[in-house]
Amino acid sequence: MLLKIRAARRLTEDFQLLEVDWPAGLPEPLPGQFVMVRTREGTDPLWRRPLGVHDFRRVRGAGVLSLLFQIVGPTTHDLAGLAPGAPLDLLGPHGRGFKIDAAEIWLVSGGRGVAPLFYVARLLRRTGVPCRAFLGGRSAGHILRERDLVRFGCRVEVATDDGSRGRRGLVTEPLEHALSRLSARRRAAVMLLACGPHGMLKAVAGIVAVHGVAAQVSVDPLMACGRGLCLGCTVAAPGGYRLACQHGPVFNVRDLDWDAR
Amino acid sequence: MTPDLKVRIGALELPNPVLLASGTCGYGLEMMPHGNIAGLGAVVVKGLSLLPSKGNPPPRIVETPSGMLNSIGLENIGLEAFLADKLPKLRHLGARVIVNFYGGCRDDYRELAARLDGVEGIHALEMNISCPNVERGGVLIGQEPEEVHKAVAAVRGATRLPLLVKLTPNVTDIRLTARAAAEAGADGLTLINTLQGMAVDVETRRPSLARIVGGLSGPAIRPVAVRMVWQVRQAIALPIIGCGGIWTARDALEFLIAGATAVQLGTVNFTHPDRWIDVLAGIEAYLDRHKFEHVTDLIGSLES
Repeated sequence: MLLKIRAARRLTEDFQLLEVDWPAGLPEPLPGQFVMVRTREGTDPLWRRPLGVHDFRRVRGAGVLSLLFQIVGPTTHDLAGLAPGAPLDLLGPHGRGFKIDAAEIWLVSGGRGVAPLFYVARLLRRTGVPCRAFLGGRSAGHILRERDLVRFGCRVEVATDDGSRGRRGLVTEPLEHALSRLSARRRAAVMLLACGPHGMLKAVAGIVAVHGVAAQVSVDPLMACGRGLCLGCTVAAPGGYRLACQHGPVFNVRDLDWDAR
Repeated sequence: MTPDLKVRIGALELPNPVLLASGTCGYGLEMMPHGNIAGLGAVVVKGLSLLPSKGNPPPRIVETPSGMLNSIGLENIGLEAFLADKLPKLRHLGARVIVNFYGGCRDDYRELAARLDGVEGIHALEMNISCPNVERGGVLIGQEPEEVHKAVAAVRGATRLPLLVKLTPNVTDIRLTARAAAEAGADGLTLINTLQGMAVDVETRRPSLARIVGGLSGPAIRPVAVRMVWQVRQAIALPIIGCGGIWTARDALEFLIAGATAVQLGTVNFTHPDRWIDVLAGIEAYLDRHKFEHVTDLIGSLES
């Protein structure tokens, strides 16, 4: 279906934010769900691209969907060139999102992994659930929405590979430090929500196993259809495979096999 | 006057020649949000095996120029779950159902065909023979005319349902396997299955697919498919269902003119789940514009 771009904003050199008018007849997207978009006629690129729901809010009653993406390939280049009023071919929302049912939520992101976590932070502000955010990225230009997360009441810690923002190093380092300072009782109350590159998610899986903390991860394998038709977006799970588009993209960290390639 | 879109493949009568290809539309039900599948000529469901199959390790797919490679590994829920959970819903919708199936050996094929025979709501069978024969060291049944003949004959003896055989294009001369299937009692031929291909991630120097080699589908293979439909049409007097990279009504018309009695839409369903509706409307508009009363008048009408 064709939706209309409402606003477009370059956040940093490589990252763009789009706001899209959300039609009244569509189900309201849930945090952690995704949409499938395309920008060109013809067959190159062939597939739609999955983008996580970055934010959803109501402006005078009308739904507004936000998409945050890194400009990396033909589709995201096209998307970055869309101006307000332009149509966007979009299907969704698809997939299963985050279950936000803990007394305290910690968000852990690597680079564009912040995209689906931001909507969680907005909802947490509404419900008053305490929130911490650990943002990691290559450099300062890959740390996104930091101020808005603070505005939502999140306590934010930042780590970059080159030290150009926050501490130098991996985002899992401040995370592990913070976890190690928790009492057993606090630890039982915390739920981690993580999204980022596979290596980061795997590290998070190891850390939560050590510290006995619950966690959900949002995964991002290559996806052709987004709706369970192609069976292409499998992730390894104990005893078999799970489809990121249907069973995920959000999984309980324990439901995936982190030792598989 | 509205053109007549009905086509016939053996005893199988279809209200129109537009089908959805196996492996690209789930068990049909997944397509319902995008259009009522009862409006299709038929839906060809995901290839079934006797027992559920969990498929290949990831990565299973990669995008290529106007195409994609896949090595899904024939993941499916198995015969029992299909009959219990999916078929009743398909019947309720009034969809015409063609069951695609595959086995590891001739006995598997025979048993599957026997158990699907006479089941209410199944309109035809489509045999996938592009899979390894475990009894013969993994040689692909579909690549050897003699093996094709034996497998199709075994299935033919086990079912009264209209029987389609889906041929692999990964052969030197597809007319040989097509003829073997015809002589063994097939009612129709679906061509083509995917072309073998491979892609490499140059940054990691790893193959893009875990299983290294996969099946190429999408518009990239369409000219190959059209050529094979035309060749087989010249050589063998069996209805053909054309399949391979159809993206628009114009593409579907190419297949019909080259000699296909019907077409299957596959990879396009991933990007445009409602495209079959446009293709059907486009065929109808074309027939109208070119003053064909029946789609059957267009089939094989290639001028040369």
